[in-house]
Amino acid sequence: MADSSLFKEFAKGTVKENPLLISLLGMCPALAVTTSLTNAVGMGAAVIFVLTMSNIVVALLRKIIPDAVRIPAFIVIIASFVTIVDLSMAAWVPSLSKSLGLFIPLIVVNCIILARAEAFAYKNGVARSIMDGVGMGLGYTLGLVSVAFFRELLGNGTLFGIGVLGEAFKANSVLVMILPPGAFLTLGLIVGFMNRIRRV
Amino acid sequence: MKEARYVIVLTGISLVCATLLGAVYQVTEEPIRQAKNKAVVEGIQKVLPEGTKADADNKVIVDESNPLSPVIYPAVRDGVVVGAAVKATSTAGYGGNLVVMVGIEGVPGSGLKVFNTSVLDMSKETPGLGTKVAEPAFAGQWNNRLVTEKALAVKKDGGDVVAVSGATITSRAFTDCVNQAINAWTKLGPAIVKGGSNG
Repeated sequence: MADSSLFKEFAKGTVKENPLLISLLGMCPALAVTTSLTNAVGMGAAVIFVLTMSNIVVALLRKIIPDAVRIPAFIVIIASFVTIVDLSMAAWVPSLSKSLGLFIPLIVVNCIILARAEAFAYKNGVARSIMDGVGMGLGYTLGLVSVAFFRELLGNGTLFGIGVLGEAFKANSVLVMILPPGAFLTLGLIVGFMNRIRRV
Repeated sequence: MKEARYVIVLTGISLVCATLLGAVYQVTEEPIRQAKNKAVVEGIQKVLPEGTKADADNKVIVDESNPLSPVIYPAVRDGVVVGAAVKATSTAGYGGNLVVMVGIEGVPGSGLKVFNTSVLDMSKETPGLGTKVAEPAFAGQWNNRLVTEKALAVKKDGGDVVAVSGATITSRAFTDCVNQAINAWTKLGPAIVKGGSNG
């Protein structure tokens, strides 16, 4: 019984309560970094790490942190993990760090992380919070990847930087998909598609 | 005494976080510096003809007071300065600065040509559009281009540089980098050649 409820905490983030496609949280990076699958996966991995770690720490400290100062406490914890990710990326994957640029530090103010700390980890145990963090992070990554898949494929003719539609397509790709309007179009259509499925 | 507890808890969390970050900073400081240096070293190697050597530590900064000033890395073959790799930054990129390493063969006064170019930083350009300046279709047209008195310019501005379609601004910034590099080498090259090399 305990196992199945743990799994439920994990699974809810991927589809039913997908933070990006259902709750529409974290839209700004989702529009900005989804120009390539590599960026989307890198951003997703960073979010999974920060979300899981901050969920663990918040769950551990939930009895110690007084209600009145919980928000600043959460922000300090989240900002620390984000800085760790930022520095580590600059040190060991400089190319990814360059292309994600400002959006890594901006994870601090990503509402998904604070929302999960506030709505879940502050009220639940460590095990359930880990499941929630990984699940939500994975759900967000899936959202980013599905947007980036269409944008990179149609806008540049590549997937993970490897040409799949041939040079002829690449020379005349649908440029708008790589540009900001393509992000809005793709995200809108995917969210609409998700709504359609949910209704059935 | 509730307030005292607020202060203690927040101070405690902040202290632990600060200590942790200090440790992470120390661990990553050296790799970050190396990663930045590596990009420069690889850029230098790519833009110079085989057999010539340049050193990331042997450099001449054109204007010390300007962090965006071109940086000259003299290229040496058999102890003689035969050209330079010049790191040039253009502030006219589409979203910010564009940094290009330009390899110049020859010394001022005896005919210069651009040997090759390498983009060091184009993170502010539009992916898949402005970033195409790094691809052979655009970047290839610089290779072995003879340097003349006339500053280089894209076709729209009356020059003969073929811009990436839809990315004239980035193409202009790239051209600006090459011009800056040529100017820097033309101006300071003679002194560097005279001074000889220490490589």
